Amino acid sequence: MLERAVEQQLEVGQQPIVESGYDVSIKQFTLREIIIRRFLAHPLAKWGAVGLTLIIVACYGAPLWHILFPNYIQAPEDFDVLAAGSAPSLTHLFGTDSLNGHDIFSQVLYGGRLSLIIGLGSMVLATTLGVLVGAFSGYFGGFADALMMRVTDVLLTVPALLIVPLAARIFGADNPFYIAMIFGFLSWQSIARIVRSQFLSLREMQFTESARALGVPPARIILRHLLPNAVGPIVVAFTLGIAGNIVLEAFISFLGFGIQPPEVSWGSILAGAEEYLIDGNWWWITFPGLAVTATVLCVNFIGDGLRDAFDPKIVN
Amino acid sequence: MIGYAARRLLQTIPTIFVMSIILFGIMQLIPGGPMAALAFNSHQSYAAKLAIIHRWGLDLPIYLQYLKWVGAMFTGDWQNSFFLNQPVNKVIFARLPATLLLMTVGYLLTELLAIPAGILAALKRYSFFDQFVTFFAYVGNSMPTFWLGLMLLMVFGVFLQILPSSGVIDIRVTGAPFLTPEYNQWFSQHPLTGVLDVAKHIILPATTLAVVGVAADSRFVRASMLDAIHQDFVRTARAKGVPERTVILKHTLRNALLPVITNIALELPILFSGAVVTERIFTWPGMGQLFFQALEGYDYPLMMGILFVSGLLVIFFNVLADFAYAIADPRISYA
Repeated sequence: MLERAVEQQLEVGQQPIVESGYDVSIKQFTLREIIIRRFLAHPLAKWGAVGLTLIIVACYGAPLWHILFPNYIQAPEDFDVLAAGSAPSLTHLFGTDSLNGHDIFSQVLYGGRLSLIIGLGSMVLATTLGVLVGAFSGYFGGFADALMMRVTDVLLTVPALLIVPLAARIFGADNPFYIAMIFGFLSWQSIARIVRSQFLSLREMQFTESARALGVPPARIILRHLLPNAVGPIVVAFTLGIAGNIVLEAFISFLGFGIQPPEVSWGSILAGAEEYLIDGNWWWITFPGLAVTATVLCVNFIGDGLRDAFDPKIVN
Repeated sequence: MIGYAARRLLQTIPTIFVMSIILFGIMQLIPGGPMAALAFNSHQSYAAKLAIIHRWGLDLPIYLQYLKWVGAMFTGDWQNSFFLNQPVNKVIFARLPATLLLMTVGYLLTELLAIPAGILAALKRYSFFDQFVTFFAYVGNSMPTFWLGLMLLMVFGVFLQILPSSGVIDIRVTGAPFLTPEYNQWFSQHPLTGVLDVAKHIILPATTLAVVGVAADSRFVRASMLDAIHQDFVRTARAKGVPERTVILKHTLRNALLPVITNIALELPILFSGAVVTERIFTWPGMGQLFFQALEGYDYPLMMGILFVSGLLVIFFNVLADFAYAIADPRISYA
C-alpha cells in the first residue's frame, strides 16, 4: 500500500512523504525530471506532441513518400492540367487545384516543410532578441529600460497584421528566410516583456544578491543564475509564438506577399483558391487550412502542457 | 480619477511621437521611397520626375522631411492618394465607419455568446457543455481567421447561397455606394430595408470575428468565474442560507465580471487586426481592405495615413482599457 502511494506521488513529481520506520528506497527527482513527468502526465500535451510528431514526419518525409508511393504523392513541381479541379478520389486524396492540377495532398505535405520551419525559425530569432532586450532591461533598469520598454510598447501598438505585409513588400519576402526574419523581428516584444518582468523580481532575490556580493560579473549572473529561473515562461511563449507565426505565414502567403510558386507553403496553396471559390471546389481551401489548424492545435496543446508543467502553483 | 485620466492621456504623447518616428522610418525603407509607384511610368520625363521630387520635398535632408511630414499631419494636409486621387484623410475617414461598424457588431456578438457560455461552463464544471466550450475554444484559437472566413463564405455564400458574400450593402437595392450622400438620402427614406440590407451582409464577417473572439473570451470568463466561486464570501453567503440563484447572480457574477471588463477592452487591438483580415476576405469596404489595396499599388501617402490612424486607434483602445480598469475596480486608487 505504502509503496503504491509513494509511486503515485513520484509519478506527479512530488517528494514522497514516508513515515519513519519503513525502509523505502526513494529516487530523488531533479527539477527537470519533475517537469518532464508533469508534461507527460498532461493528457492534451501528450496528444499534441504525438500529433505534431506525425505532422513533422509526414511533411519532412515527403520526398521519401514520393519515391515510395509515386502514384499518390507527386513532386511539388509536377502537375496534370487534364486533372485540374478534380474532387478528392483515390488517385488524388485531397483533390487537385483548378489552376494547374497540382495534387493538393502532395502540396500539403511538401508545403508543411516551409510553414513549419518559418514558424520555428522566426521564433528562434524572436526569442533570442526578446531575451537579450528583456534581460538587459530587467537587470540594469534605468534609462535604457525605460527607452526599450517605450519602443516595445509602440511596436506592440502598430497592428502586426498591417506591418507584416508592408515589411514583406519592402524586403521582397519571396524568400522563406526573409519571411522568418521579418516575423522574428516583429514578434520579440512579448518575450522581451516576459523576460523583463521575470528579471525584475529575480534580481531582487537573495541568491542574486549573494552572487553579486561574491563579485560574479553581470553577464554570468544573467546567464547562470537568472535565465535558468525564467526559462519556463520563455519556453511557453516560444511555443505559442510558433503557432501564431504559422498562422501569420499562411495569411501573408495567401495574400500573395509571402511564399511564391514554385515553392509551396500552406498559405501559398490557398493563394489561388479564393479566386476559384465560386466554382465550389471545396477541397482546395479546406485541406490546407485543416493542416494549419491541426498543426496549430497540436502546438497550442503542447504550449498549455508546458505552462502547467512549469507552473509551481499547480499540484496534481 | 480626473487627474489619473489627464495623466494617462498625457502619456500617449510620447507614444504617438515614437510611433510617428517608427512609421516614418519604415516608409524610408521602401525601395525607391515614395517614388516607387511612379518608378515604371514610361510616360514621365526625367524633368517631370525631378519636379515631383522637389514638390514633395524629397530633396530635403531627412529630418526636415520628417518635420514637414509631422507638420502636414497636424494641419490635416495628408496628401492625395495615388490611385484614388483624393485627399488621404477624406478617403480614410470615409472608410472608418464601415470598420467600426464591423468591429462593434462582431464585438457585441462575441460578448453575448462568450459571457453566458463561460459562466455556464464554470457553473457546470466538467459537464458535457463545459467540455464542448473547451473544445470549441481550442479549435477556434487554432484556426486562421482568414481561413474561417473563406470556409463560411464557401458554405453560406457559394453552396447554400443564403447570405451575400461580399460588400456591406446591395447596390442594386440602394442605388448608391455605402455612406455616400445619395445612399444617406435613400437610407433616410427606407430605414428598415437599409438596416436589414446591412444586417444581411454583416452576418458572415461578424460571425468570423465572433468565433475567434468567443474562443478566447469564453475561457477567460470561465476561469474568472471559477476564481470567484471559490472565494470565502461565496461560501459564507451559502452558509448563511442565501438562495443559490442570489449567490450566483449577486455575489459571484459581479466579482467575476470585473477582470472580464478589462480583458474586453484589452482585446480591442486584436479585434481590430481581426477586422482587417475579415474585411479583406469579405471585401468589406473598410480600412483594412483599403490598406491592402494601397499596399498593392505602392500608394505611399495612403499607407502612411492608414498605419498612422490604426496606431492612433490602438493607443486609444489601450487608454480605454486603462479607464475601464480604473472605473470597474474601486479597490485600486489612482489618486
